Amino acid sequence: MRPLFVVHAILNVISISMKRLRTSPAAIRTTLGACVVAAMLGCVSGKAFASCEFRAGSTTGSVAFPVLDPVTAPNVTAAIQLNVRCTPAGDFAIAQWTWTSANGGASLGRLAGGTPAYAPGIAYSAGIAVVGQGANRTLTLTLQVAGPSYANASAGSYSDVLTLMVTP
Amino acid sequence: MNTKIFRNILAGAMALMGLFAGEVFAQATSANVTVTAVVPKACRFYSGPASMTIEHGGGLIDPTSASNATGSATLDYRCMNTVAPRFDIDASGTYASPKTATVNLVGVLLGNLAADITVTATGGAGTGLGAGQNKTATIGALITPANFGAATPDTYSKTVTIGIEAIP
Repeated sequence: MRPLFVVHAILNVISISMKRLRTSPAAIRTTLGACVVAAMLGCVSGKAFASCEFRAGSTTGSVAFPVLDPVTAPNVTAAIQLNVRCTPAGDFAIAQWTWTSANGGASLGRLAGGTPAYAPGIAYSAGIAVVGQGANRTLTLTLQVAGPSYANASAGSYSDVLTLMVTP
Repeated sequence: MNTKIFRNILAGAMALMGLFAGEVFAQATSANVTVTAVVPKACRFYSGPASMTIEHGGGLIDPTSASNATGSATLDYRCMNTVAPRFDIDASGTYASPKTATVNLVGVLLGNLAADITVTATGGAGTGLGAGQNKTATIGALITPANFGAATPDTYSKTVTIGIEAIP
């Protein structure tokens, strides 16, 4: 709904300024132009035409950590690669790649599960790196669980969902 | 009036275009990644080696005694939360809780002396493998009068290996 608000707000301002001339051909042309600009602004403010995106086939994925052996409790990493695109390619320089964890937050992911349920969850960190040339590049999501995070965990299966986002 | 109507229709159309474009392209600005991990059941010892003397008192077995000569020692173990341990003696390949076995102590001069060994998870199920979660396993040993009564006076000894694993 945000683009709609933007359009109307700008149109109202323009209609006030054009009050005396709104029946003239010039006023009509001005208003038409304003509409186009307003619509474009609406699109931009709504992020409708984002310049960076996850490519088809890379909007979902799954990654499994190697077995978390609490006896030795080493730091464990896992990674997944996704295909991304920025148009123009120069937008990679300003693109902001962020993530949020369904069980955690925006700075620390959290695996939930275990039998019995392990209330603290297993915390993990996530890092994003984008490499390549041109408009199509590869995003690597690297996850790491530190040994102390699961040394006291319950046995069983754990899971989380990370939502990756890009702006603009 | 016609201009106003036209302007409003056009603005509405532009706004709808903005909304429509937002619906189409916004999907690719995010991606969902499912993260999974498995934590297996585990137990391990956190102390040892330990030693014990099987005796009636004073470090000696009284060959005229009608009671068993006994000895005991303890080892610290940790298991994952709610996971109970079981034990093996001298790598027999068969784990149990408690675990019992008969071992032969070897004399310095000549002959063997049979002793019954029992390993019990006195501390019960685990509460985690992290620091401060130690539980006690008790290793009990006894030599019956029938065995030490027939033994040659000597010093007998043996190193016994105790294994631990989580009960599946």
